[in-house]
Amino acid sequence: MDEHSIAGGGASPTQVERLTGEIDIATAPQLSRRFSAVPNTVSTLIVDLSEVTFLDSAGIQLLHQLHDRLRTRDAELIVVSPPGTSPRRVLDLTAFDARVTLRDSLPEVWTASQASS
Amino acid sequence: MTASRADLRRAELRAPVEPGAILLVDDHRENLLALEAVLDPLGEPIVSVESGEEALRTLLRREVAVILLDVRMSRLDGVQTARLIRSRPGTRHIPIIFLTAVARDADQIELAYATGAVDYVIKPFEPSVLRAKVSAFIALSRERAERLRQTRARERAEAAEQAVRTLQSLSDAALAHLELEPLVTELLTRACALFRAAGGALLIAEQDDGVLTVLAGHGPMRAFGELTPSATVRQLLKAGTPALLAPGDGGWVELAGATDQPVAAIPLTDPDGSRTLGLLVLAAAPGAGFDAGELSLLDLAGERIAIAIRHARQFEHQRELVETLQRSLLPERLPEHPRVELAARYRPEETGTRVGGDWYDAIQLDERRLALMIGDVVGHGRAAAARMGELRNALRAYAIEGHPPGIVLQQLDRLVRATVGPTMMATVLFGVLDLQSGAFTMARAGHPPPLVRAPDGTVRLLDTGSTLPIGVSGDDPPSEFTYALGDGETLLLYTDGAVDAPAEPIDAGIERIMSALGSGSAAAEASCDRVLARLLECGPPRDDVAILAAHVRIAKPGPLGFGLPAQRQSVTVARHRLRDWLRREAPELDSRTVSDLELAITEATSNVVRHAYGPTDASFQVMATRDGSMIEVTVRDHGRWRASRSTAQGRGLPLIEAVCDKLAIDRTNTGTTVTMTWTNIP
Repeated sequence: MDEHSIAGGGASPTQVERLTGEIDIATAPQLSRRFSAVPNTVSTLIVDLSEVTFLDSAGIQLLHQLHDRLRTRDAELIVVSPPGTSPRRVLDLTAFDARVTLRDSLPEVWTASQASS
Repeated sequence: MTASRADLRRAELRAPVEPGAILLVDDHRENLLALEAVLDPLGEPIVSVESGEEALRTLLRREVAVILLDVRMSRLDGVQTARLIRSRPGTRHIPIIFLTAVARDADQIELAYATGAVDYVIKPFEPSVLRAKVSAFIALSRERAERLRQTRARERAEAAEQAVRTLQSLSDAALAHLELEPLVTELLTRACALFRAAGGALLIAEQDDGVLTVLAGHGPMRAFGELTPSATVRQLLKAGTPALLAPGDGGWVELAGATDQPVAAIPLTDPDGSRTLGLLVLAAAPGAGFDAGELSLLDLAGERIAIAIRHARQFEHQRELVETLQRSLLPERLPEHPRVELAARYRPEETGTRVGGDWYDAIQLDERRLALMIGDVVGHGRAAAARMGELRNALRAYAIEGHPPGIVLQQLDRLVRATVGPTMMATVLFGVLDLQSGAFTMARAGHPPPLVRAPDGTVRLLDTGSTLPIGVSGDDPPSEFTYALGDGETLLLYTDGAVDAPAEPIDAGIERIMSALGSGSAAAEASCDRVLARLLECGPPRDDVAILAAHVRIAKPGPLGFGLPAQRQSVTVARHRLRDWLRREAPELDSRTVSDLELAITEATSNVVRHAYGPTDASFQVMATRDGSMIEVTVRDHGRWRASRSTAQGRGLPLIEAVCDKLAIDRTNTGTTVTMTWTNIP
């Protein structure tokens, strides 16, 4: 699970969390700690699930909690999950995008952000 | 001293042939003076000695055309001297004229003739008669010497020719098989032996940058490295003729390497004269040096070596081409499937320089069906290979369309007859393996029948009806034949190169691969290895060989069952075990159904873990069964679920419901059983 910050304004940086492997009840606590470590200065957190091979309801719950926490300080969560993957199927089954922004790919995130700014 | 071939010829022309002298032997000095005076007008060299011993010594040192020998001498007399002269091969032929003082020596004259004198002169002699006799014998001697010289020259020429033939036969033999490096090593060793060199190096111009790389080193020149030739050596290479370089000569230092001996430098020029291929350097044995007379032989040797090197290069280039072509025509990798292990081998014919027409292929048509094919286009060379490529691609296309094997071969036959015409012929076996049932349905067009090895090692030939080869078939599609491969059986497809060993009937070849297949492991890789090894025992294959083996593992799906402690990590373990079981027992499942099953078991076991009573030794059991198109997964715990439900559980159950066809939850006092069923498994 590597992470890196990408260019953003000093006051409103965007951070990408690139997750890998399987997310279930066994790995969720570790992931929860990782999300807690995201600085409060981050205004847009992108969680990229492209390399995640499994996601269950524990992972979904974790993402919802993250979304709620970010929203309390006007920060945004964007989840990236390519169609056709196993995690995306779970996100779709739970209508995840009804509450959280869901994108197919990282480039799509940039395109969307260009369009909106 | 450097000497080119032209110099050598000039030297031969100039070289004075020492004229045979007139040898006068008399122990009286005044007699010698008189003889000299008489014979001087002949203009021939005269050597006068005063004893038989001295005469013999002189004969060792120089050529003598005729000997005038005084019969009466103190110590060694004339007759004794003549006997000694006659007894030695080198002097036996020299005419001897006896000089006698008086006629009473008649008995001695007789004796003289008996010992080999050709004439005698009685003293005092008539000068003109003596001169005439001597002159005649000198002429005879000259003639004889000339004949001898010619004979020797012929012998030398023959010896040289023999040496060149040795070298030529070496290079000729080398042309067919040897790669460049072993070839030049061999050539160098032979050249060193041929010219009695202490060592040598064979340098090759790898590129056009002029740098020479040592490809082989021998004796003191073994350690020779890379050489960037000086102007002198470049000149020598350009001249293209051998040169002898002694210490001190230009170029000697750079070519002599570790030796302090004279060297022969023989440029190796491409036979068409277009460029320098390399350089052969030979170092003389200590104290020996090279003879200028050997230069022409060195030149011929260089020519031979250059030809051999060019052929070796062409051979290597050709083989690279063939390998590339063959690689591009055979599948890079075979399909992988949990229910079948595939292995294949391709072996070109002996030299590896002729592309064969054999090929094999395997395509996963869908999750359940695997197409296996093998074929042999009649003929060799690039044309055959190109046709093989076309045929292979056409067969792939027809296979993917999903027609039954007989129709696939009929379509292939029609295509060939319509596009190529009667000049092309190929044998093909095409079959489809059902990975669920093990049924192998195949059709053959002139191709050898496949073999099946049972798990107990017995091997049988599936000798089904075959039709004519592709390209000559009739209008009816080849008949199909289905064989039900059982779990653990191994199917072997092969081309006739595999059963066609030198000096052996085909039947013996089939028996041989049957026995190879039957011994040892049933695994496809091991089977291929054994069959190929047994074939190679009979010598290098005359034809190319392709074999394709399929070892099927279609055991009826067994149930999955295990228990785990009710801990978070167990959720992951349970999911992985189910995944492995599915991969083994239901390999045809699509990836979405597999991830649905994984999600369901994860949610079900997560519920158990979440609701287990504290950190006790609670556990859960997982069962999975497959019955035809139905898969059932049950998760059972031995506690009671907590009354209160978390949000996660609220999500978990609907998710299970969403991905399975039927969900049943059975709560009792002893525990809860969640049964999840999928009914439309393909």
